[in-house]
Amino acid sequence: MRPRYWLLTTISTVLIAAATIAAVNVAVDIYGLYRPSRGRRLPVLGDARVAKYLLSMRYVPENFNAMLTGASVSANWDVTTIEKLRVYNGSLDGGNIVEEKSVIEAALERPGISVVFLLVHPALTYSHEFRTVEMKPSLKLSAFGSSSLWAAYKDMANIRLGRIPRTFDYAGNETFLNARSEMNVHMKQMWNAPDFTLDPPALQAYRDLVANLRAHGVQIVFIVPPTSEQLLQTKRAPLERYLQRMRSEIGTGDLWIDFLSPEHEALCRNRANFSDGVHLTSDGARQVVARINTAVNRWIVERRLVVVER
Amino acid sequence: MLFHSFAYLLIFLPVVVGVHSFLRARTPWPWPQAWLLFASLFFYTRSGSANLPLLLGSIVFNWAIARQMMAQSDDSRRKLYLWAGLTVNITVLFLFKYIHLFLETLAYFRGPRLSFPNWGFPLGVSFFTLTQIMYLVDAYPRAPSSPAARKIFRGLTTASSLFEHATFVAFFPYVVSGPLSRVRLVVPQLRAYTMKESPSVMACRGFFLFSMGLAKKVVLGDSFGTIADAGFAAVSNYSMVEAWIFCLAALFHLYFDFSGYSDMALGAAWMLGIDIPQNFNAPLRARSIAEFWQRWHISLSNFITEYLYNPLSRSMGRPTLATSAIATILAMTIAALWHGPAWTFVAWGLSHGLALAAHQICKRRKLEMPDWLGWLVTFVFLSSTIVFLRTNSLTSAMLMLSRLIPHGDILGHSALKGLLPASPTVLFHPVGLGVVLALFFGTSMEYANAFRPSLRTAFASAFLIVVSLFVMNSAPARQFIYFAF
Repeated sequence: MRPRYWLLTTISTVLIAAATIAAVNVAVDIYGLYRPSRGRRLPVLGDARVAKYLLSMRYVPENFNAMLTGASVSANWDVTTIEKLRVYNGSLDGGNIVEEKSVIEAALERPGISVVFLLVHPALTYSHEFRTVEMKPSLKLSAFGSSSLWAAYKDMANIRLGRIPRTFDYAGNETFLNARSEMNVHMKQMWNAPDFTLDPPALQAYRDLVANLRAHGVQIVFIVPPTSEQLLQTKRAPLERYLQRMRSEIGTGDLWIDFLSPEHEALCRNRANFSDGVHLTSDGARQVVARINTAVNRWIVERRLVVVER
Repeated sequence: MLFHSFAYLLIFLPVVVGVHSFLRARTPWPWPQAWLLFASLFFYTRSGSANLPLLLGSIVFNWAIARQMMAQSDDSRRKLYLWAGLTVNITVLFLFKYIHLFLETLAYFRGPRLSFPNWGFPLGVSFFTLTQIMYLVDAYPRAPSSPAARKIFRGLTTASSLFEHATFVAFFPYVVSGPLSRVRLVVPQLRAYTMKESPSVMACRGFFLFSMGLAKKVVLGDSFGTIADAGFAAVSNYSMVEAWIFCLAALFHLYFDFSGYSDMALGAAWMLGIDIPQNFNAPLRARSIAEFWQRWHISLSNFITEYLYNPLSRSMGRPTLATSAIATILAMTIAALWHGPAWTFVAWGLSHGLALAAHQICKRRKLEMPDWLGWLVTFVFLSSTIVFLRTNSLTSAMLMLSRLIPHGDILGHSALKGLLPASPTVLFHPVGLGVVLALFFGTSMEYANAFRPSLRTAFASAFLIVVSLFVMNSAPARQFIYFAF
């Protein structure tokens, strides 16, 4: 083969293969990026960070009017049971506020989201690094063809063939199939330390996110998630200090649901509601979402929360 | 600009190679070389424009010193110029790289607490400074006593022009991370095409090697890197199995990252019709530590031997086993410190120096191991000493090393599960493939040398590029490890 033809063959093969892969992926459009996605039910497949970020660009604002932002602590809260809002669960396993901020801000690029439930929890402000991918607009290119997309297709095929169970639904809710009986390394490090670390860049990202949400006219509901009484016995004072600091940073004018308040003491006391002290069992998560639902209904009646219908 | 960025792959490299081929075919020298110099300076500027004055200053200074040195008839004056040049180069490296380590260490030992402005770390300063040191030493006109020495210094009796020297030092395939190249190899190739095969065959071969290097870096190296980064980010009480997995991942990461980079550098140079040194030759299959250093970062190993070990050894008088062992340990420690300003690097160099010295003693006493045992001992040694390159303190390094030996928790894997990202299938397939390729298959250089333009090699190359683009499009490009050295 003449060298010139070799180069020509190689480069044309690369171009044809890349164009074909991109065309197929645009046609399948598993992240709802390339055509109107209203009414589609797109689950999270593959790397949850990539998927939730890309779904937030178009699918979430076109199908939901509220988002829950948190870490693994809130990842299994089935927010589809909230009656008067269509909530998307943007919580990321092991996620921090910098990652969550990216997800929320991607959703704010289009009109649609009018309420955000924002967790106040040390896990969100413990660090500021992106865990698997840096979530920035250029990640959209990965939907043309990438290893994360390949992983998503593999998940999709395996779920359809019944080889693996579905772990996420169309609203981003995660099912903890194997209940977590033990905290992961990061969570352990965080709870074993004498005080809760407040990472300055993470705190700044939290402030920036709140300011951005307010600038977009999005109503914020801050949620302090429940923690088992057993864990609280050793960490109540540091946790109180943390929450006090966060309240002073955020301001108190917004809507708050504090699951550590005496009103929810029974929920925190019941060990059966927790799998490892911080993560809730399905039953515990159901109770938490029911209480959030009650609060939302009350606020809507009191006109403290305004639901914007698309 | 990274070799594995879309800007480099899709715009910079095709444009530079295309225009260079056109100029070489249609215009006389110096136009193709002028284009190379322009492209190289553009490449360097895109990687950090603030550092360009340092690179240009280094080029002009070293060229002027070499010119002055070669013009002297008196040997003592020539030596004076050589030492002045070496001192300035080493001082520059010291000020940018080691001053803070020096001041911290001084303060640690109750010395004065001094501060020095942080000027940052100019990209490629370690590599182009070594290139300049080699240039000055090679240009020093000694009276060659043996035919071998005469051969080495042939062609260095006249100084290259500033234009040639600038193109040689700033040549974009190696300016940032090597391979360390010598003036007598590169400069003659700038004027005329000297390779045995035609430029178009070399361009295809370079493309083929580049595609292999890209896949090694992006698909294999970064997969190992994800595991290694997770394990070394905060060393904790890992089980023995976890500690070994993290160390092995770090070793394979370093190998695939740097050998992939070197393949891309050599591939790009071949596309431009210029040959530069090979840097890797299946180092993880080495059966002794000495063989490892003949196969790993070969251009640096040659530098250590010729410019550190030999002068140190000569300065100690009559060569004995003891003097060569001491020279080895010293040379390896200095070379390790070149990698980074930290005591962990010194510990790494010291451990390799001691291992090389032990190997010299064993060899002298004719104590030999079977090949398989030699490989195993070398591999275990390399995997365990990698902790010094990956941890940021000696305390963390010692903690990691302590986890490598059997202790209470041998088979635990909870930390591994917690630390690794959520999509292990994407990660583990390249990892398995990488181990098999590194230990049992031919090297990318062997495949490149056996290259013939055919449909099979065209599709293989296209496949590697498509897979690499696929992976590159998943996450932002991970920097080459050696950019930090």
